[in-house]
Amino acid sequence: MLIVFVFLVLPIILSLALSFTDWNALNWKFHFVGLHNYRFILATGAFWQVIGNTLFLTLVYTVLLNVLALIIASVVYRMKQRIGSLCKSAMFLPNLLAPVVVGFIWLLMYQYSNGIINKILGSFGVGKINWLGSPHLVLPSISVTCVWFALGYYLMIYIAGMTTIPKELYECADVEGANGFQKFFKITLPMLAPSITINVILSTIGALAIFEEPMVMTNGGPGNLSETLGLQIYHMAYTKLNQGAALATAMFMIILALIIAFAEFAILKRREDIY
Amino acid sequence: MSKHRPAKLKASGRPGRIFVYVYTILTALPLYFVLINAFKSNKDIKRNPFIITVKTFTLEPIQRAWKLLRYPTTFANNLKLLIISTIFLVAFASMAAFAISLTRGRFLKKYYSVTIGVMTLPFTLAMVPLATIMKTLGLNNSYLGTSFVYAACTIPFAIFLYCGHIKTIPKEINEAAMLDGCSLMQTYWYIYMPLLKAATGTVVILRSVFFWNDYLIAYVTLSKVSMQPLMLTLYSFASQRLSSFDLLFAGTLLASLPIIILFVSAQKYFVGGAMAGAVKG
Repeated sequence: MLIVFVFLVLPIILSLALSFTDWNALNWKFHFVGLHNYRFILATGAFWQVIGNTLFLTLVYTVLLNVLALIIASVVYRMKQRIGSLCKSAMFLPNLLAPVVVGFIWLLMYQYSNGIINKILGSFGVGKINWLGSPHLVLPSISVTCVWFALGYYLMIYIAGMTTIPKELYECADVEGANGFQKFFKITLPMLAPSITINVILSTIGALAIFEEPMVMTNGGPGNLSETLGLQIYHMAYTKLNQGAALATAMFMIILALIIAFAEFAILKRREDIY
Repeated sequence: MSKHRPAKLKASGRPGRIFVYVYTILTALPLYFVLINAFKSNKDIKRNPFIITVKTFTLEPIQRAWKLLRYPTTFANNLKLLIISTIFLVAFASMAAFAISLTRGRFLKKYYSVTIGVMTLPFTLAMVPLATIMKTLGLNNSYLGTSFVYAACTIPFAIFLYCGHIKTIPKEINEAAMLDGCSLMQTYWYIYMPLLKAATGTVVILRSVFFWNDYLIAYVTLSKVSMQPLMLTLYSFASQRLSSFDLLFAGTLLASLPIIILFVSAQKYFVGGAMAGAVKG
């Protein structure tokens, strides 16, 4: 337990405290500078761009991931044992890869002149698309990558949640003549409410911290159009060597994470209670 | 249920199944491309990345990536980190869970719920001060130090899992052991640990993947090039050779294959364990 304190809790507390100082991470000397670091990051125009990117990525990622995982889980759950578990394993496999590896794989998929996606599109007569270079496509492209990577894990949680739903409910619905959609919306969704709450909150916090994939795929570019908060902190701390700014940005991230997580929790909890 | 399923449902289930098949294939495609293109020359990949023939098959990219990754060294580094961190994780987490479950220490329980909260926060938050703390303690550039960080990041969830499993063990077993004169440590080691094998298996396999694949923690704590694990080496070599598709494919394959093999050989623990954690959460 002491280890968790020294190597995880203490640094986070220090992050908060030291974000108000001119600390340079080389030794323990620092001076209190008040809100200077916060004013500094707010003054750089890129900051709101980064916040916007992160929020966009979080929204697309969370929604796409959970909707897809729910739909797929409800289908896979009713599949025949063998083919169902084959599909599950195949979808889980990307989850075993390192985010860095995922980044490189998709870099090769998206690549402009010889990338595999453009080659496939080319064989259908579609012109080349600059997936990672065009301002409108870069964030959606990265979102697809992240969803591809994470889906298997969330799928497993949803399927696990489904095994706790009593079979009798579905039998009842069958007797009453409900169709697949009605069963999904009236039985599966309400009964899965706790799993949904966990998954939505976990995926939001996960999305806010996404960092390795954009680092490998675009390193924040073009310009800073795919720079996320996590990547920004990494850049500030290790390329620009501005520790104060990195810590202040980290504080923005934690505040954003807490606000969103609590809002989601409140909303989803109310939904759980209604059912 | 499946035998007496009404005709109506069958009809409405088909688009769903087709959707899942298509999605599964789309998911598997990038992995397929990595697998086949790791054994082709750069020219052949650019000409036709979709299939592999006997004529285009070559081991050369794998051999070159092997050298560039300094594979034997980095693989050993990864393995060392993995083993030390796993031992720390299992030992500390199981003991802590044992203490939390069997004693009525209120402080421990409070502290435990705090760490569970902290666990959900991204590591980026702790990164900068952590590096300096490590340097002050003389633990930077040492596998011991890095393993401490790995363990710290994963212990809360492991305690959570162990506590869930300990609850299913009847308290009478503990009382019987006490009556027979078992010390606390003996009860832990001879009675609880064997019963908690399933939880240990889950923790080990689930977290091995995390340890193996980590980039950020290793980046922050290990600056010496000769000590760096696979992902750091992969990143530094691959980000300079973005146009050599063959090397990138071969490098990613080499870096991920060991953990995939581990997963496949221990799959039953892994999937079952992920589920156990999810349902109780």
